[in-house]
Amino acid sequence: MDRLAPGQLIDVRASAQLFSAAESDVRGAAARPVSFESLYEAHVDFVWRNAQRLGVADEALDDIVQQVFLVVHRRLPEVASDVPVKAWVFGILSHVVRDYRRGRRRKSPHHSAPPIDPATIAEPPGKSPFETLARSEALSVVIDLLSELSDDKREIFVLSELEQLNAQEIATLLGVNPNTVYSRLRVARQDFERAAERARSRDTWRLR
Amino acid sequence: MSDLSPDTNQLLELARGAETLSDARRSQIKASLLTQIAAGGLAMQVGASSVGLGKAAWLSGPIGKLVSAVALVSVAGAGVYVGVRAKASQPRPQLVASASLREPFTPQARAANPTTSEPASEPAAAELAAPGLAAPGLAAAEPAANAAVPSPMANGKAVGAAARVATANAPAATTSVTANADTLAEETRLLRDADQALRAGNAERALTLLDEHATSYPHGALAPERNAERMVARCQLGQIDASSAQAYLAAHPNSAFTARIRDACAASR
Repeated sequence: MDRLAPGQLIDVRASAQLFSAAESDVRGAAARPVSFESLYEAHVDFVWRNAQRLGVADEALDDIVQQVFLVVHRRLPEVASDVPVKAWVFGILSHVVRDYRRGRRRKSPHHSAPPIDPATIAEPPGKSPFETLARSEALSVVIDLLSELSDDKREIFVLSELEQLNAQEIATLLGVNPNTVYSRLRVARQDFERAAERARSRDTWRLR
Repeated sequence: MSDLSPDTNQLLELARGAETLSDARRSQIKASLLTQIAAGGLAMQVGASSVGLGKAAWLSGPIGKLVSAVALVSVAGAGVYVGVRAKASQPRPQLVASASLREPFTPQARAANPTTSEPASEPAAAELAAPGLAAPGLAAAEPAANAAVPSPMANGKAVGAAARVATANAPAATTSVTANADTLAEETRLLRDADQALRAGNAERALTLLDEHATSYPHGALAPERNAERMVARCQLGQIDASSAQAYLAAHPNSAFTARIRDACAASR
């Protein structure tokens, strides 16, 4: 465990130079050390899109991403070198988002997924504006449906169905047994499908 | 997977390709993040007093400078608490800064952090970038030695006060820190006021402030930002045509103000 000794200075300049290489992959068996800036560049998209998928309202997304990376910055010098970087970052994201969602639930028990402003979403290269809008609307629907899942199931579902990681990768990210991932994922898919069916039924009823 | 219907799979397929963080938003997040980090780092440096402010620019480029400048204002005004450790055994005063940073972690997570369990050692001060961790440790260990003073928005007064406190114990070493801090704080104040005037639609007032900055600090640390703000102001006043704006943007491809200049100059057409 290559931690800094307790009492050692944590300097923003020094911490940016403590490590040298870029992001490690999700398995990160031989996790490479990283600088803060390269880590930020390598993971900001991952953090941003998954914060959104995990239920952060659009207007709070930037703040949440900043909070995640402030923690990353502060803890980077003390993270063990054998910890998979992506898993570590996701763990921080998960904590921050859960705190955020708890806060929102306290404030508004009737909160539903916020609308996504298409203007805040960059148009992916090679896609028409119509396709971009259709995709952002699909995401909006998915986020709405995800709100019906528990935190644990939601995380696994997002990592599997949207981030498209396999069970072993998810197990590494979440620090759980792959069998646990399989069982939770199965239930999460069932819950999501039921929520989707209910939504489709509502839409059908409205169109009558 | 068999658990999901074709319709649901199609929905997920669409959703997967939806979200991409735009470049503008990515830059905005990064600038804001670096500002917060720099705010903590700067406070640490003033506290350490052996490092000149000029060396605080661990960030390079215009954003870096702006970050350092904004950090000064943040430390000075944005709800920052400055606690001075005037302990006799501690020759260098340290600052406990920044209520503007939030600590999202739980107490359990804090307890698991080995560096936070060393309240009286250097890292506690160094953790100024993460006051949520540093402050409780210091406060718990040495409540009498810490005097937390809430600082209102005061145009750099808190920085000046902090620097003056720092110089009380090490006057020779911190003279340049104080001078540089005062200069940068004043530069920042002018640009911030100009920016506020611009955003309020008062471009003439903004230009007056920018002229004042140009007169007082022709080669100031924030000269590039001043020029960019001037572009925005003049575009708002319709004094700059699109081709001139385009030429400026071409000459400054990495400007943090690119989007604002483009918007302002496009709107003025």
